[in-house]
Amino acid sequence: MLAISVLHLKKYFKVYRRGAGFLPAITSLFSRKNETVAAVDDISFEIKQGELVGFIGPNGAGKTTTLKCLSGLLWPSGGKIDVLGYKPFDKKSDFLKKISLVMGHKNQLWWDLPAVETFRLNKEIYEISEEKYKQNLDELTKLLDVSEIITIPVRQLSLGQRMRMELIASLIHQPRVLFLDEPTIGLDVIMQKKMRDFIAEYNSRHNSTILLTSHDMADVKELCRRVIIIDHGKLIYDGDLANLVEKYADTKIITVDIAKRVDMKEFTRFGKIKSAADGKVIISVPKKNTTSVATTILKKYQIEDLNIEDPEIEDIIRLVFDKNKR
Amino acid sequence: MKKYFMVFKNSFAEYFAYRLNFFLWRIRVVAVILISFSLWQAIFRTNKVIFGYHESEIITYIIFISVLSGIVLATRTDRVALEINMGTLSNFLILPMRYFLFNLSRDAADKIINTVCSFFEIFLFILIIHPPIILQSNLFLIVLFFTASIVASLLYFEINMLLSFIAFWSKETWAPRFIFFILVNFLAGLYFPLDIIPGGIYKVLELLPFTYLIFFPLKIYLGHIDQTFLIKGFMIGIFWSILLWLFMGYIWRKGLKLYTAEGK
Amino acid sequence: MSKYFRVWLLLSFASFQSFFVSRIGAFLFLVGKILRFIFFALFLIFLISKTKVLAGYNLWQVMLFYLTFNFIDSTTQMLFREVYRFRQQVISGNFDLVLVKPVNSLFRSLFGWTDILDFITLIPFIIMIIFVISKIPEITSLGIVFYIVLVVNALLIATSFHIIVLALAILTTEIDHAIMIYRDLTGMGKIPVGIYSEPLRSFITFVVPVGIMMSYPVESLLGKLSTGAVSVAFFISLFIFSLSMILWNYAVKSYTSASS
Repeated sequence: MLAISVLHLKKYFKVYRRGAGFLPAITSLFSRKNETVAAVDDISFEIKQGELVGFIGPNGAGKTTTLKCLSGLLWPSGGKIDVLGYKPFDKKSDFLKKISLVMGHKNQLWWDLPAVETFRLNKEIYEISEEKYKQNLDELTKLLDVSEIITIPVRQLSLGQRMRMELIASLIHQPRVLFLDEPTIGLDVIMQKKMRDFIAEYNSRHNSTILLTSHDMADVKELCRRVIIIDHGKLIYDGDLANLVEKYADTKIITVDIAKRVDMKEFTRFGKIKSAADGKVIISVPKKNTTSVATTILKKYQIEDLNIEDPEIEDIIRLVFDKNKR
Repeated sequence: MKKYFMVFKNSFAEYFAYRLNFFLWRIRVVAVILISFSLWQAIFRTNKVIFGYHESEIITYIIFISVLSGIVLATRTDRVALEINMGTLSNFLILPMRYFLFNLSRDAADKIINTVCSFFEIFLFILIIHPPIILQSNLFLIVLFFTASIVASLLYFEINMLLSFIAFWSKETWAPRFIFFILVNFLAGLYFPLDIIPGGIYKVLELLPFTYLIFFPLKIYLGHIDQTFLIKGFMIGIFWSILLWLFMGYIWRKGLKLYTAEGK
Repeated sequence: MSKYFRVWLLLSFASFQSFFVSRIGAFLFLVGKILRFIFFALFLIFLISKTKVLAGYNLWQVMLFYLTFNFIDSTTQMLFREVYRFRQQVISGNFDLVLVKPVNSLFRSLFGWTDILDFITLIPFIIMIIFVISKIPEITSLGIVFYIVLVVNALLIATSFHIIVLALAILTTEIDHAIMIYRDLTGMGKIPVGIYSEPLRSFITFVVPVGIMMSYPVESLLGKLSTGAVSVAFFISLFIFSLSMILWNYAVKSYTSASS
C-alpha cells in the first residue's frame, strides 16, 4: 500500500541580493537583484504505509522543503505529489485529518493555558469523538509520561516537557502519516532517547507512515531502516541504511589494543590513523586490504584485542556528500 | 565617539532594509495630519478668526506639527523595553558603550530621517494645496524655536526611557506607553494649539511637561508672544528636563540592580 | 458549520482566559481607549460649540458620525484582534501549524483571538448612538434600516481590508504594521468625509472606501444619500471582498514558509 508518491518534485525560491554599505542601501530603495534558488531539484521516491524513513542531508539540502511540500504548505514549482491519494496543496479537510507535521521549535500550544486546553481545541478541529479523544490522550500521556503535567500552564513547563506536549497536540488525532522535522533538535541526550523510543513505539503500534528529517545521525541510526539522502536539492541515495554502508564504504575500521608499547608511526603504513592513545590504535584501512592488514598486525605485534568494524555512518554520509560535491 | 556614529549609521541603514515599511510609515504620519488639517480648514470656511487665531496661523501650526514630530517625537526608545524584557540588554551592558548615548545615537538617526522626510512632504503639500502658511522671518524667533525643539526632544526622550524602564519591573510595557501616547496627542497640542483651552485648565497644562513638547516650540515659531511667555516657558521646560534626567538616572540604577540580580 | 462555531468559541474562550494573565495591561489598555474616545469627543464638542456648524452639520450630527465610526472600529478590533499577531506567526513559522490543520486558515487568522473586552465597549456605543439619533429630527424608519445595512456593509469592507493585510503579511514580511495603516486611514472617518476637500474626499470615499464605511451610514440616515450612491457602496464592497479573496489565495500559493 503506497502512502506517499513523489514524482520529479521541484521547488524554487526567489532570493534577494543586496550589497552592504550606505550607497547600496539607498539604491536598494529602487531596485534589488533577485536570484532563483532550487531548494528541491527533481526528486522522486515512493513510501509504503507503515514505513519509517529518514531524510538525511546537510543544512539547506532541501529536506524540510520536501516535507513542507508533502504536507501541503508549499506549492510545488513542478512535479507530482500524492499522499494517501490526495494532492497535499489542495489541503482537503479529509487529507489534513490524516496527517501531522511536527517541527522542532514551532509551537501551537497556547502559552498561558494548560496544554490540555490546546488538546481540546484540536479535538474539535479534527472532529474526534469524545471516546477516541480520551483513548488517544490516555495512550499518548502514558507513552510520554506527562499525565501529571497536562494541567499546568505551558509557560511553566521545561523545554522537554513542552516538546512532549507539542507532540501530543500533533498526534491526538492519530494521523496515518507523520512528518517529523528535526524532532530531537535542542533536546538533551536523555530526552532525545525518549523521543526516539516514542517514535519507534508509535510506528509499530499504529503502523503509521513516518518521515523524519534530521541531521543528527543518532536519530537515523536508531530509527530508520531506510534512508533517503538529499543534497543541494537532489536525491543522492534511496535505500536501506545497511546497503549504504556496503555501497559507499570502501574502508573498514580496525581497532587494536596493543600489549606492549609500540611506536604509533609504524601503523601508518597500514592505513590512516584515526586515533592513537593509551595503547589503543584505530586505523582506517582500505576494504580490500583488511584481511592482510589484520593478519600482519596479529603476526607482528603482541595484541590484546583486535576489532574490525564498518565505518561510522556519519563518515559514510560525509563521504557521500563529498562525492556529490564533485 | 566613532562607535556612536556607527550606531547612527546602522540605524539609518535599517530604514532602507525595510523600504516599503518606511514608506508606509510616512503615509501614516501624513494621514494623521490630514485629519487635523481638514478639520480646521472646514472650520475656517465659515469663520475668519476663531479662538483668537487666524486661518494661516492654525494651518501653519498643524502643518509644522509634521516637522516637529520628526524632531521631537521620533524615537526608538520603545526598543529599550523590549531589550530589557528579552534580556538582550545584557549584550549592551558588556559593551564599552554608554547605553544612554547609544540610545541618543539611535534616536538621532530616527529623528533626522523623519524630519527630512517631513520637509519633503510639506514642500509637496505646499506645492499642491497652496495652504495659507506663515514663514517666520524673525531670526531670533527661529533660533528660539530650534532651542525649544531641542529641549522638547530631550524631554520626550527622558519620558520615553522612563516608560521603557517599567520593563525592569513588569512585562506590561505597551499599555502604559499607549496611555502616554494618547495623553501626548491631546495635551501636547497635536490637534490644536493649547491656549484655545479655557483659562483654568490651561494654567494647569502650562505646568506639565507635555506642553513643552509641541505647543511651546510651535507657538514661538508663530510669533506674537511676549517676554514673560518665553521666559516662563523655557524655565518650566528646562526645569522638567533636568528633573526627569535625574529621575531617569535614578530609576536606571535601581532597575539595573534588579535586572542583574535576576541574572538574566 | 457548527464545527467552526465550536472552534471559534474555544478560541475566544482561550483569548478570554489569557486576559486574566495580563489583567493590568488589559485594563490600562481599556482606560487608554476610553480616554482617546473622550478626548477627541470633547475636542469636537468644544470646537462646534464655538462654530455652531461644521461643514453643514450640527453638533448632534457630527457626534453621530463620530459614534458610528467608533462602533464600526471597535467591532472590527474586537473581531479581528488575531490579525495583529499574524505577522509574528508567519515570521516564526508557527503559521505552518495553522495551515496544516483541517480548519480554514483564513478563518483562524481572522477570528482566532476575539477580544471579549472590546465587546463590552460596544454596548455604551449603541446606547449613545440611539440617544444621539433621538436628538436629530426627521429620522425615518427607512433611514434607520439603511443605516444598519450600511454599517453591516462597512463591516464587510473592514473584513476585506483585514484579509488583504493578512495576505500582505504572507507575501512580504517587510510591512510590520500594515494593520496600523488601515487604522490610520480609516481613522480619517472619525469626522464626516464631506469635510475633506477634493480630490482627497473622492480618494478617501472611492479608492480607499473609508467614506463608504464610516460616513455613508449616517448620511443615508440623514436622508442625504441617493440610491445610486448606496448601490455604488454595495458594488465597491463586493469588489473589494473579491479582490481580497483572490489576493489571499495567491498569497497561500506563494507562501514560502520560514526557514527551519
